[in-house]
Amino acid sequence: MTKLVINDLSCHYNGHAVIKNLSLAIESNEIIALLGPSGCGKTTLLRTIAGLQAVSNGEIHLGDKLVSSANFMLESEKRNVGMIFQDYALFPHLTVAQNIAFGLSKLDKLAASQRVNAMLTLVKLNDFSDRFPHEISGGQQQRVAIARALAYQPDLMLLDEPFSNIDSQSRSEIMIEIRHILKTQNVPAVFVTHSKDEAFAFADKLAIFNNGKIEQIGSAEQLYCNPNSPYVANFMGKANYVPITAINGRSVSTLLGDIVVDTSTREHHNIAMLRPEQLSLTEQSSSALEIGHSFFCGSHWVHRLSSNGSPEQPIEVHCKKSYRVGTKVAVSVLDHELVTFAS
Amino acid sequence: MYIKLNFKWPAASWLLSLLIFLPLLAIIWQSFGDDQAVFSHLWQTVLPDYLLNTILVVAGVSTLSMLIGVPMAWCIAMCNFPLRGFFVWAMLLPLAMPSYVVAFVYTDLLEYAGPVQGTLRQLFGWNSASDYWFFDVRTVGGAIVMLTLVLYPYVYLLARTAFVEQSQTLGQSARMLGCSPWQSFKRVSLPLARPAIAVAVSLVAMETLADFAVVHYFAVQTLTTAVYDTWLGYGSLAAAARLSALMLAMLFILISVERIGRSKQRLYQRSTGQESINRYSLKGAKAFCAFSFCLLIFVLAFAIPFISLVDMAIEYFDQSWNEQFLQYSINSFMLASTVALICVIIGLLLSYFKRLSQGKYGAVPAKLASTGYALPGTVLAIGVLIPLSLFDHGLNNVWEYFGEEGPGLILSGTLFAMIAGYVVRFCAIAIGSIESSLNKVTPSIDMVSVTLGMSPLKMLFKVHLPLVRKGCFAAALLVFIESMKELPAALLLRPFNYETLATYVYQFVSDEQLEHGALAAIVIVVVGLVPLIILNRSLEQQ
Repeated sequence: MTKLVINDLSCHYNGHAVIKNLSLAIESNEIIALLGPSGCGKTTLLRTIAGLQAVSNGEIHLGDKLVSSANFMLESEKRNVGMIFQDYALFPHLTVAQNIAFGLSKLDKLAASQRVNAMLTLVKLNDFSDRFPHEISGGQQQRVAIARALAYQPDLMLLDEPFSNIDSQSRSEIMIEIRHILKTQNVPAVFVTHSKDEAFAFADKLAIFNNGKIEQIGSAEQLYCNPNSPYVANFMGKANYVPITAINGRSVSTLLGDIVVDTSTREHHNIAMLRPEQLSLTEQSSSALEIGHSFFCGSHWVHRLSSNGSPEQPIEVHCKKSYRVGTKVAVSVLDHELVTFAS
Repeated sequence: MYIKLNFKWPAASWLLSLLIFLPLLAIIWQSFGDDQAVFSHLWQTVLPDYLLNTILVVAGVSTLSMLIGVPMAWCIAMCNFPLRGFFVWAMLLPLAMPSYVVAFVYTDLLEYAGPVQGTLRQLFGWNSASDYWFFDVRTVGGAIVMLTLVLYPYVYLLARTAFVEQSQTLGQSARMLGCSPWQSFKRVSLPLARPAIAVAVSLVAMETLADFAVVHYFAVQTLTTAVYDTWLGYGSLAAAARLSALMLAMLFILISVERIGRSKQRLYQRSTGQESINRYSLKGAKAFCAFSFCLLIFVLAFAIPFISLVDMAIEYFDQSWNEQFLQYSINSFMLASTVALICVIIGLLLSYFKRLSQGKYGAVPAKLASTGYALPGTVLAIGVLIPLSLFDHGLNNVWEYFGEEGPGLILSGTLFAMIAGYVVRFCAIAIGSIESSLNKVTPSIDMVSVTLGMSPLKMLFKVHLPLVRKGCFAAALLVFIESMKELPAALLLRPFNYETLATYVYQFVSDEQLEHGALAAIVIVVVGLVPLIILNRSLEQQ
């Protein structure tokens, strides 16, 4: 069942369009990451879903209920949506338990305290229920924010850059934990981030934002291996772009040789996108390319190739083997599904 | 950082700060002295009433200021309504009004012969006071209202800042968890602003406790008027000191409340203030209510008194623009400039010493020297008079011992006492201002200077002084303005026949002839507007 449907949404802020004709749908139990550089409109989208920002065109439906349109805006408190803010927004004058109980004023005392205890257990903070927010760590504050939002039993969870204030050592642990909590509670989520690593670890699907529009949506692997534009390709990771010199029959010709591929849909394409790990090197003293710069980064070596005198974008290759700077090398393309673009 | 300071620095700092701290010690010491039973006489007769009046006025002004200041702060911080941008700063203006001027203007307007009652009589055909009831301004209630009109801006200012600096996400969070706007105000915004409101209300209470002019003019007997009368009437310094000690005890409670409030405030107000606020747009009746509430307070607290002053000043310009006015202006100006200069030098020395000294007691001199600001002017004046008159009498005794006529009251009876009193009262402002601008200079500047071979004194003049020039100027300006306005300490400490603008205006207020002092009063108001403009600008920059 679809939990959230956004239709042809536009949104203006201080006179200029921040979101332009955007559509998006989220299935139940699905976590979607809105990924993009800062200022691209992803937080604005989150705020429109939360009812904190008016829309100028289009519609937002939660479940089967219309919540926002150009001339209608359901109040935030009536949407039954949970939100985790970047600064967690814990109430500093309330204890952990009181924070979690904040949204439960409609429940009777016993039911509320049972819910609070269940949430404390869920986020493993039973021993901290009487502490104030400033007396616990950043990761614990984060979990209180999650517990507070979940205690309210929202139909949808919105998370705005929730991991950016957590130190990088504990970040991946916390992401796994919170993803697990959301999945077991069966709450779908929309998650805003500018870091692709966070999106990879936390989300089922990624929506790449560019200037108020979704450029492409899909699983992390899909977007990495099959980006539909250089923008998405670059956002997902390092990419080399090699001009296509000719397309003939079942292969395309490039500077790095011919690559066998289905050419039927690539009539006007003139650039091939090659990930650094899709290339391999062999020593060849007659080659025009040589190792210009290289360093070891743990799982592999990074080599940057310079062709003598050519000022073009250097080609980057990731491989297991080390080469000395200055070594003449030939590059070959490993077998994979080639991505090409029309420039 | 380790910088070797020779003996002169700590010696000078400690000596100076102890001298400034001396009045407070003197009050405590003197209050144990013999007062020829004046205090016990007072205690058996009028003092309980004075105490009750004091508590009534303080409690009344605090409550009323809160009732006006908090809703106003919330409306202006969180809502859009007509002229909101004007009210943001206009609601601060009453701070510049001397309370006794406001009190005089309203007494004048509302008394039996005044325009309000006159119009009412004409309108309803009443003939005499026995035909109708009209409230009397010169009562405890009147004093409460007058003081509230000039003191509520403290509550408004601090509460507004608290609302603006609350993280916006907290309110949004409350909304997401099912709260209506009103519930989110009640459950989140207000509890979070409470420490700031407590700070503001304790400031209002302290100012009320220190007020002399309004209660004296209204003949409402409180502790401040008692201190004044005991000294000028009975001539008993010891009894005045005991009364002062009583006020210090009340002050101590208020300062504790303020401290607790401040420590919580740091926890509750953590927003950078950079997020833009989504203000509620008020429409119709709500907008009208917010607008007319702000307008009413502005008219009552500033427009009416100020227009009355201008009106009087124009009508009586020829009588007011005379030699006395010029002479007293010069007196005030010279006095305030001297005090400002001395305070800046003290502030610079003590805050620089605090910066360079690495011992754990390095901050103590600056703290000691800052205590005077919390003292009410009357109390402070008594505290200054005690050591000075002791010194004068001792000196005269020595002269008499050698059979000569003594030199007289060379310290306590001259401008020296006045300057000393003002310096003790206002150097806290200079210390605070210079300290905060010194704190903005990174410590590595000191390290670089030292490694380049500068002595502490040379570093002060070549490095720090140029960097904190602006802070020094602001400090001098603020001290100058406060000195121009100071009244109670001036009344008790001035030499015979010496007048400042403030005492001059107050003289006319007491004599029910403010018309003749209106010009001088306008000078005081306009001078008082300067720090408000600075304050407003710094708030806008945030």
